[in-house]
Amino acid sequence: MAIKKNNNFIKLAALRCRVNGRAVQKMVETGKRLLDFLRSDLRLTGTKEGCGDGECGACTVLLDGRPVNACMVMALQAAGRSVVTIEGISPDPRILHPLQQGFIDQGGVQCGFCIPGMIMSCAALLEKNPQADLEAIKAGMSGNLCRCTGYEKIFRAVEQARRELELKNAQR
Amino acid sequence: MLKNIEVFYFPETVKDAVRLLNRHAPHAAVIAGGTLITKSPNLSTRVLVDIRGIDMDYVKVQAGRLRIGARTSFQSLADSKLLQKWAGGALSRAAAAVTTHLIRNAGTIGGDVARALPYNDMPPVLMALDAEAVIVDGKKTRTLPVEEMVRGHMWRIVGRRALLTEFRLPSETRKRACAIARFARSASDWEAMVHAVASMEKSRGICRNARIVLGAVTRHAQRFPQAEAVLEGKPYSESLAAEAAQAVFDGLTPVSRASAEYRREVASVLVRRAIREVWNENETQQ
Repeated sequence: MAIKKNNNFIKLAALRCRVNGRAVQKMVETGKRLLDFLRSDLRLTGTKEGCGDGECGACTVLLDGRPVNACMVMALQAAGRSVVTIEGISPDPRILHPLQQGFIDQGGVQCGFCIPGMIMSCAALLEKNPQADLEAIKAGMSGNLCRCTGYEKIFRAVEQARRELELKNAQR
Repeated sequence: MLKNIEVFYFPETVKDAVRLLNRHAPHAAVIAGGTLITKSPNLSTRVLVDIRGIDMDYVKVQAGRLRIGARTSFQSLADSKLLQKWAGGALSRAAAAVTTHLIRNAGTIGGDVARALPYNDMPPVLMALDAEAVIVDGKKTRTLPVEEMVRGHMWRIVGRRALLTEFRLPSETRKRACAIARFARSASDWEAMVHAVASMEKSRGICRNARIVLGAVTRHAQRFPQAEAVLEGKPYSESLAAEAAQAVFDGLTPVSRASAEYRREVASVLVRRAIREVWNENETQQ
């Protein structure tokens, strides 16, 4: 299938995947990146585009549970897979995820542009390694750059979230 | 960006993937992790063959040989217990040093070799461990040393109709000592300035089967037989390492990025360090 846009024919293909736990079925441009699909087709604008080149991590999303740069994944590569964005990080949308709360409490956010990516990376890190120490946290965030904070408050935010999640897991 | 893509295919077998590549050549390309193809796309590519559904994500030993599926991600290589023991864990360490965890989760070892940019991290280590690439081309399956694979983009070497499926490392490389000395502007920079790998067997204080490989300095990762010859059959000493490093310095003509003088200097220093490290590491294994 093709549509005409700005005098160019654009090829479309059906994409079925799960985004933030919901089944999504949409026609998508075959050459589109996952990042653009999320932002412009699904209007999930929490995921940001920084460099668009795999350097900064502002576009981090979870693809089948693993954090990746959404600017380096084609939308159709997500076919049949699960995508989680910052909008779906908390199981209950009315309650913030401990990481989100941590960033607020510790003042880890300045301009905020990098934070969705930071949180997605950290969520995957704490899922894989719930006891992550400061060194592990630093390594786990190696793909996410922040130009405002100098990182110290971000590390504190993640450590707060880790303690909170540990408590929650212990109570289960 | 890959604006010209018209069709995406999801084959589930190697045979189907090769058939699709043949049907759409030369406009078809393989996509696995996507980190290289989205970064530097070829505008003539109109068909993408996504090999995610094919069972090419494994690290295993069969008949003594190590087999690594071409679609294995850098992170899986870094986490592989088997790889952490093979040749002192060199491949696993090299994979763990690939830029950031976001790239390591997506990028694959096959892409790193098929799209062999001069600074890619895996080819020098694979070459130092005598790895062969398995290529399925139509009805034929053939093997090619990684050293030959990386002389240019894969399609210049084996054509656009072939699929790289696996890497095989000979059983004798399991006990080989291997050290990597990588220098980049920052630890997470994908483009190393100089990447030196040394590997050898240490047999009763004598260097055997020495391999010296440099990445990121010339157009493709390159072995240095002159430096290897210096080491071969001799007992290790600091002056021997210096002599091998000098052979690299004399035989190297670096291209692009930073001055040639600077890179030759850094390359020879890193080669000396890698040889020293390889000699001093895991003595007890011998």
